[in-house]
Order: sequence, then structure tokens, then C-alpha cells
Amino acid sequence: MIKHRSIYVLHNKGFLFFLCCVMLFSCRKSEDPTDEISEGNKIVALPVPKGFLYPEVPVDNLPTKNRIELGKMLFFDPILSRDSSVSCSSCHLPDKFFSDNLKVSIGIDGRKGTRNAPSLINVVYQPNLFWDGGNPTLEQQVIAPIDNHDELDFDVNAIVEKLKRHPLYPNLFQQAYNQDPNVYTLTRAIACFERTLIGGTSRYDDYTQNNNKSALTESEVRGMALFFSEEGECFHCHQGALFTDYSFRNNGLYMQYADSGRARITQELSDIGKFKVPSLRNIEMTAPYMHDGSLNTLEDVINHYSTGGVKHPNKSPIIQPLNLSAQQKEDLIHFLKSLTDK
Amino acid sequence: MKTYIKLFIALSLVGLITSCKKDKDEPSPAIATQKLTLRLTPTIGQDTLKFNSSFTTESNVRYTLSSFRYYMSNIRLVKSDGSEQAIDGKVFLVNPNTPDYPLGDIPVGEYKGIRFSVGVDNVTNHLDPTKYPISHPLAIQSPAIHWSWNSGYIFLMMEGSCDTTALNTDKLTFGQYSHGMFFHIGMDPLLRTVELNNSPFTIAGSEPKVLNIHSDINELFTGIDLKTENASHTMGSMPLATKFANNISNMFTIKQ
Repeated sequence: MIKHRSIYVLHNKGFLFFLCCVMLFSCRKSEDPTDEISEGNKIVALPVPKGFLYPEVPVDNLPTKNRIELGKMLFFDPILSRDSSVSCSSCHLPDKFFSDNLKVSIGIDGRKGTRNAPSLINVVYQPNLFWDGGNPTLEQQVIAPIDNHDELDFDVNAIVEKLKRHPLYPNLFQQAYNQDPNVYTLTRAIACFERTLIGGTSRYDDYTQNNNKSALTESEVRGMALFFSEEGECFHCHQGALFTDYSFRNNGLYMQYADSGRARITQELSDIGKFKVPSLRNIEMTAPYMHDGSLNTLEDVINHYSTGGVKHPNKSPIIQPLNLSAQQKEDLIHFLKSLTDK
Repeated sequence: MKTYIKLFIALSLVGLITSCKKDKDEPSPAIATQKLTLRLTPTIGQDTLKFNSSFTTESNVRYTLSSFRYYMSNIRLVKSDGSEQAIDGKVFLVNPNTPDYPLGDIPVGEYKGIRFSVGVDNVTNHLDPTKYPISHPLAIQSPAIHWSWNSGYIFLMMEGSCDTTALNTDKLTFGQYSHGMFFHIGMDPLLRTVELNNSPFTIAGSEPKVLNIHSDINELFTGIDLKTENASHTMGSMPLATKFANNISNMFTIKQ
């Protein structure tokens, strides 16, 4: 709250100073650094597309240009890993919709994790993080991959010390948060950048939001109808603009789960094998699928739901054999491929 | 945003007004106080804990420790009439390298004992640890004592090694047996309260008081067979973690 206010004041002061400069030395205004800082500290709007709600943003970490750019720089900087070999972007690649197209991600020293890296597109809408929902905010989430021995395997306090000695970062942290690099500002900057990764430019959006009926093919329209019908059932879990209700469900993937999923957090037997329903946006581009990347293609996924998976006491009652025809499967896959952002 | 600014100003004013009031009332009947410090000494039976030295449980399993830390919070002194003197806001991350934990100024008098929690309450446990300054015990520590993947503190962390051979033949290499041992105990249901009333004490006005409290680590292994039960992240091994946590209340003693 205080921080927010100080930016506001800074901006106003900057603007006054700017006015003075314009009046006194109007020819030199572009060289005035104060003006640039205030521009960078202006609170900016997130790029929310038509049809999406404006997401909730913590009041102590409202997006500014300086914060977003600092977070972006950190996101791509291997300084966050123990031996400076991997960064956030090693598993969340921009050209792969901030996922990595691997079954499970590979971190430091080539170590494999146990879960499939989710796309970060629209991560701002997640009410909690990870397949098991164990982490409550994007800010706190930053610590987890740093801690994890299979990911960045480092110590956040050691990172802060490195950032303090860095030729560029101390100044950038001061500009963005009016503080030195510390755990608070480091986690906030990265979260601030991640909140800007918003999609919503798919052909499906063009069809529904712009009423462009030529945006989808006949097969895609049939697939969409099936997706949102009681026959297809998909929409029960994959609902809303983000195609998820963020619930934790067991979808009958295994009879015995190597990864207990939500039960790891709750310790409830009834949560074994439950994982967060993922968004389906950009699903075509973020193979393989499921929490462990065990299904390679969309065809495999559709076949899984068509047969209804295997028996498990925690399996969601919605998961029943659908016995889809070959045409229906093809239509559904075509529809899913219309959810890819431009 | 403006609402927040207004709220902030309003709160500041309230703060100013109340703080002024307090200043005026300052020379009210002074309660005599004295400084009290807890001196917390981890032991193993009668021995003082030394990292990487070999110790033996009461059921004759050899082990070493490389790390032993726990959170102490919700500290209350119990007066001789049974009422509590709460020590507000103190949270300690206790580790063997730091013996003394100051509680500040405490009213002088006779006390029956002390109560405290090992761990943190279920609100503090789920607050954002990145918001604390680095010197705060609840900030992210190095090494960490907070689970970043489920957002909660490890209340008590013990790491080391143990001899799991049937005939106790394992050799120490660089102060460690070949089998790793760790107990990372946390989660709200495993918050344990300790009540020590074995030894009444006096806080006199004349000199600062140091209260010696020993914690016998061997007590933590009561009912636990270290040869087979030697690893728990709490999650995934709740029965063992619960057994371990239930022993916490019995490990502490006041030593005069």
C-alpha cells in the first residue's frame, strides 16, 4: 500500500519536474533522466484480451514497465541457478508458449524432474500454482524452482548476494522497487513479468469475440459443439475463457499413482491421483500431456477420455466412456487446435 | 488506490493520537521488570550435542547429526497464581550455535513455569515468507526451513546419518554413517505445545535472569526404530512424522 503510494507520488513529482524542465530548458527535456524513471514507474495495464476478466494483482506488486522489464531479465538469466547454467526460461521457453515440449523438464546437471512443465501463458489467472496447487502466489512460487534440486538447485539468499554485486541489477531494482535486490523484490519482479504473459488471440477468440464466423472450419465448429455438449462432457472441467475450473481431479490415468498429486499437499487419501485441470489454450503446441507428460499426442488424450480411463476410487464421476466415433474425435482435435494463440 | 491512501492516512492519524496518549500516561505506576533470556541447550542424554559426533539412541542405534533447528513461538510464562504472562510477537529459530534467546523485559516475580510452541501458528505458517527482512527468523533461511512447494514452515528440522546395520558395524566416514537420516517436521496438525513446570523460578529485580532449558534429542526417538524409520518430509509419511512430533513435548526440561 505504501509502496504503491510512493510510486504515485514519485510519478507526480516527476511530472512536476518534467514541467519545470519543459519551461526552462525545453530543448533538453529528452535528456532528463527523472522523466524516464517516472515513465517506467507508471502503473501499466496488463494486456487483457476481449472476453477475459481483468486478473487480480497484488497491491504491493502492481505492474510497471521497470518491474516487468526487470522480471523479464531475471526470468531469462541463469544467475538464478547454482552453476549459472539454467534459468526459468530453460523449461518455460517463449517459442514453446513458455513450456518445453518435454515429458518432464530437465534442470541443472541434466537432472529430470517428475512433472510436465506447464505453459505460463495466462498463469496470472491461476488461483494457486503447480499441478497439486501447493503454492499460493506467483511471488512465492519463484522460490520453489530455485530450491528444487532437479531444477535451479540454488539458495535464494545466495542469488540476492550475486545480484547485489552485479553491474546492472542493483540499479534496475532501485528503479523498479526503490530497494536493493532482496528476496522480496526478486520474487516480485519475476511474478510481475509472468503476469504479462496473457494469451487470447486464437481463431476461437476471433470466432467468439469478434463474431468472425469464417474463423473456424466446419469440423472445428462441430468439435466445439461436441466439446460444450453433455455428450462430449469436456466443458464440465474445461470451462470459461481459460478452459479450466482449476479444480483437482483424478481422470483415471492410472490404477496406482507414482505421484500422489493433490494428496501430497492435503494428506487426504481421497486426493490421491488428483491434479489440477489444465487450461486447454495453446494445447496443440504444448505436448506431451498430463501431469507426467505420459500422453504424447492429442489423439492419445482424446482416446483416453473416449475409453474413460482406468478404475480408481478417486476418479471423477464425470470421466465415463464416451465411445466417440472417428469423426467426432477428429472434430474435437480440430477444435482444440483452434485454441492456439497467434 | 485512493481508498488505500486514505486508509493509510487515517491509520497513521490514529497511530499518532494513541501514541501521544501513551506518552502522557507514561509515568503511571511502574511495574518492576527484569530482562529474561532463554538459554537453550540441545543435549543427547547427558552429553552436549556435537555435530558429526556419534551418539546412541536409548534402543542402541548409533547416529550423527549435521543439522538441528526448530521454531519456538507463542511463548508464555506461567505465574505462581496460574495466570499467563504472554511474550508477544517473539519467534525464535533455535539452532545449537546460538545459545541465548532474549525475551526482553518481564515483570519480576515468582513463576511456575513456561509454555511455548515448537513451530508456528496456523496463520503465520501460511503467510508469505518473502515479505520478511532477511534478519527475521521467518524469512527464507539458508539452508531453507520453509517448504516452497506447499507453503509452510518446517517446524523442526533434523538431519544426519544413522547406522542401519544389524550388528552396528557401519563405519563413520567424515563424521557420517552410510545411511542418511532426516526428519522435516511441519504442517499445522503437528504444531506441538510444550509445558515446563518441573522447576519454579524467580525473576528478581536485582539482576537479569537466564533460564536454562535443555532439549534431549534422544527423547525424539521414543517409539521410533531409527534402523528403519529414519526419513520423513512429514508429507508422505504422516504416521512417522506424527510419532516424532508427539515426542517433542517431552524433550524439554528446565535446568536451574
